Amino acid sequence: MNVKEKIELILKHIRTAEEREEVEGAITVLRESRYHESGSFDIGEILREKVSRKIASIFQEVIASDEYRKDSATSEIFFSELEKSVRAMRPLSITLAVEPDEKTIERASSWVTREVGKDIYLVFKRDGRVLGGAELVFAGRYRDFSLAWRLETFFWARKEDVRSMIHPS
Amino acid sequence: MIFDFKEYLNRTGEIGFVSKTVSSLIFVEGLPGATLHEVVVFESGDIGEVIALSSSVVSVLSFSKDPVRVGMRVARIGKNLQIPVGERLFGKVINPLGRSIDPGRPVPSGTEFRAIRKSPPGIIDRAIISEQCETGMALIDLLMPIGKGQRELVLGDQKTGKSMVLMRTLLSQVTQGAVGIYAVIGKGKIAIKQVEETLTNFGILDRVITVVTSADDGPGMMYATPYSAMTIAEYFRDVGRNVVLVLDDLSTHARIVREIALLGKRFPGRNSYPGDIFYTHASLLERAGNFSGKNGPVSITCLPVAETVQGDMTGYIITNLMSMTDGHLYFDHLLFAEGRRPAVDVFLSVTRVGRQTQTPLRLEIGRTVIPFLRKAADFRNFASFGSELGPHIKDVLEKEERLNEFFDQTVYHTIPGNLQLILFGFAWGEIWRGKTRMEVRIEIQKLVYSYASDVALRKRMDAYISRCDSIESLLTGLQQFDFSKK
Repeated sequence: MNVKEKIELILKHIRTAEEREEVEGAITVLRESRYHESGSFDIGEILREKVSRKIASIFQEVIASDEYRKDSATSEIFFSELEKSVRAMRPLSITLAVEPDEKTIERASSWVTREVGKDIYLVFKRDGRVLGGAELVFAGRYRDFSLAWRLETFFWARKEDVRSMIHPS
Repeated sequence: MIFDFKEYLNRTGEIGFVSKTVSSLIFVEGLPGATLHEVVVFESGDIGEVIALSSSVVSVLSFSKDPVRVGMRVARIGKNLQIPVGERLFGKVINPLGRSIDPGRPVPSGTEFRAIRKSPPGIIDRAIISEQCETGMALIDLLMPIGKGQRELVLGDQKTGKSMVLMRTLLSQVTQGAVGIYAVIGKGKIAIKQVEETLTNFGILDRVITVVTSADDGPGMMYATPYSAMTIAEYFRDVGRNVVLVLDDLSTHARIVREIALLGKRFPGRNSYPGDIFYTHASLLERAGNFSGKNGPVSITCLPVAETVQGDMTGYIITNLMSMTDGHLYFDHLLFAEGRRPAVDVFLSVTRVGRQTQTPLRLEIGRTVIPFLRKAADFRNFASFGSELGPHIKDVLEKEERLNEFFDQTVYHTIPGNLQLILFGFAWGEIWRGKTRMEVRIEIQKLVYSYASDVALRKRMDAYISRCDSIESLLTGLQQFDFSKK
């Protein structure tokens, strides 16, 4: 695999802001560990102390243990490119009334990747006032698909009916 | 106007997040469709104006004193800042957003609103300045006349009587039917109160609109004050009324512009002012002038004020303002200390378009008296050596004293134009020759009282003045004029 393919493979697994943060953390840890005392050297072992098992296994998949340590210049290029690509990812903020489960995250992420682009990650926020549906924010644009807004506009459009019901005169 | 954040958020479909705040300057990420000078509303309900755009950040000038927290959401309104205009503002003291600062006197609701940002009208819409804007002060009306539609800078140190002259000008013009607008920019609350009280004492508060920001208001509000005042002036111009607009003072406004620019990390120019400070003021002042209206010319006469320090007229902002206005009235602190009211130094003052509005008599007076006063000043310097003075020099110095007594308006707020000419004739001619200052003062008092109280006498005096076209004809007739009551 060349550098570009490795990066794409890692980015494919970044779905949410938390995962993105973990990948950034993994990059920092791996960068620093190149200069540790030699001994038995296992990337997975190094990463497992800092990041989740899932992220650690992704990095193990694309990077051989000795490869990045021996060739410092090539590995630095790889990490720089990876870091640049991760930082260039754009956030899509989704505000929900409840915490999304893994199935919801996967569905949302795959839809976004398929329909919008691969360089987007999801930022899930929780706000009970939404009641249902979602509020979306992306690149400064805002769309309110929440149940709260629907109800508000529904009743506002019918305020005369409500008024005449309360005051029949 | 109340802005519903949620409504605008859904209407425009764009959102921003506050990423940084520096005093009143808010940096917002997002809002991809924001335009310059557009109004944005914060989640808290406060509003701000977009003052700069970059690829990643929108700079917003907040109009609120309350701090804006990082992370707060921001929505676009889709419009530039608009303020209420119309006759409902008469007698009200309002802030630059058009809201009354006195809860007991709210601004009635209305339908007319105007954007405060506007390009100045072009050449085609303008008319030659042909009518005099009487201030009611003889020194100015005769020697440094102002025309309707002129932009005359009022400059001088603090406490040199500038505000009183401005108030009297408003009194003179408002009683003749013009609309008065007084903009107070960043002054103490006590000064604002004094303005309101003076207008009340003059009896013209109900025909004047006061737009104020105090020193503790945010830079955003102070920045918008002259623009709001000019917008209100333009409304009345468009409905066919002459307007007198006072901007007190633009040197404070320049300091606020500098503060905002430095907070926004704009590259500082001369004296740390932003490079476009000239444009900021010029584009504002160019909105005033004399314009062709449907029923004849209508004017916005603008009197911007600038404060000097120890009489220094060579400062950056002062010279900028002098170059973009049609003249200036310089208030000398030394003349003020001597007791002269108004303390206008006619040698350092300029009027570029005022003289074309004068009658031949008034024109001749200005052209005769100023060189005379200059000559008298030279003689006075000569007399300070203590040597024996010849009769000619004594005559000149005595006449100068009579003229100074005539020009002194400590007591009288305004003197009507025709009465000014009558009094000048007495002061300049032989009738009052040999009288002491006190005697001259008493004579002036008698004539002012007679003119105000005797309608028939006033008509005769007005008719007499209308027949005079030179100083000679004025003086000749005065000898025989009968000032007794009929």
